[in-house]
Amino acid sequence: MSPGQDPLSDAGLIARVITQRDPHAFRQLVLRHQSAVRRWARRLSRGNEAAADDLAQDVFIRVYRALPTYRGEARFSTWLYRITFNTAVSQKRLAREQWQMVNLEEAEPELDHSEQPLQATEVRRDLEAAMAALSDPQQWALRLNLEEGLSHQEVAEVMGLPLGTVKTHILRGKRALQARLSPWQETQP
Amino acid sequence: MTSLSDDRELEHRLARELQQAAEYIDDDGFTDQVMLQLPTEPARRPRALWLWSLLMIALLAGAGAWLIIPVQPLTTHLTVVLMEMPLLAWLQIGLGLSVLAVTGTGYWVWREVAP
Repeated sequence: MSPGQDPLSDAGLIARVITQRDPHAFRQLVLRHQSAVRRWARRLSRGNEAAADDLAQDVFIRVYRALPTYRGEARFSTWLYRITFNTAVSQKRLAREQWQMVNLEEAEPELDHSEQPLQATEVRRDLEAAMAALSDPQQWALRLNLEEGLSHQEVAEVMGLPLGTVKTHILRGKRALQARLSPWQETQP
Repeated sequence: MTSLSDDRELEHRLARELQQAAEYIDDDGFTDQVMLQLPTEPARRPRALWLWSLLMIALLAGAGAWLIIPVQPLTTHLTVVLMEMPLLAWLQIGLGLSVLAVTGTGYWVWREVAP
């Protein structure tokens, strides 16, 4: 651990796992990140919770094995998501080739012209419905970008796609959401 | 009132809603399951392993040379051996070095791309 490093930060815990082989430090890392990894595993397993937990366990075992190769250049969460996607692909839960395809003929969703203002719960429900209507790569790219706060470059690294493809997925996903959620204009943020 | 035609406003609103809606999953014994399945073999630094292997090969090669070539006339013998070495032997050495370089590059690429 480098001097001045917070022993309870991700970097501090990782250093303890590598240098002291401290299982308690790894346990803390799993506890801290299990929710996010399992949430993504559920998405990548299409909602199958048992399969998702198997996937998430494999992810953390891979992380433990690969931890000495983590050089801290990317955020730990970004690295973790990359392993999650790679594990899902290697277990053939996902076919990465399909994410590369950007359908140029994709129909633009029609604007919703309803005049009714929306309540907060309706906003959330409508958002989930609108997200579910997107293609998988659009939805994942948007969630990684907006929900997890990853940059476009980081999303490309996590999904293993060219940056241009990721930008297209995000742009099209946003356009589709914009059209489907136009009644939001009537609601207060 | 928000205008979704403003791209930045849309992003801001979507990000806030998605982050608020992100479900927290209780651990519920998950971490214990992971800890039980961790490999008993402790994680090692691949770079250290790689350097250690190279050092061992170098030491073995050095020990072999020491046994084959007497110490006293080492330089003389070495010069003669190098001068008299057939072309095939040079080609074999070159091939060996190429294999070493390709393996090293392959390892470096793997380390950059993995996991």
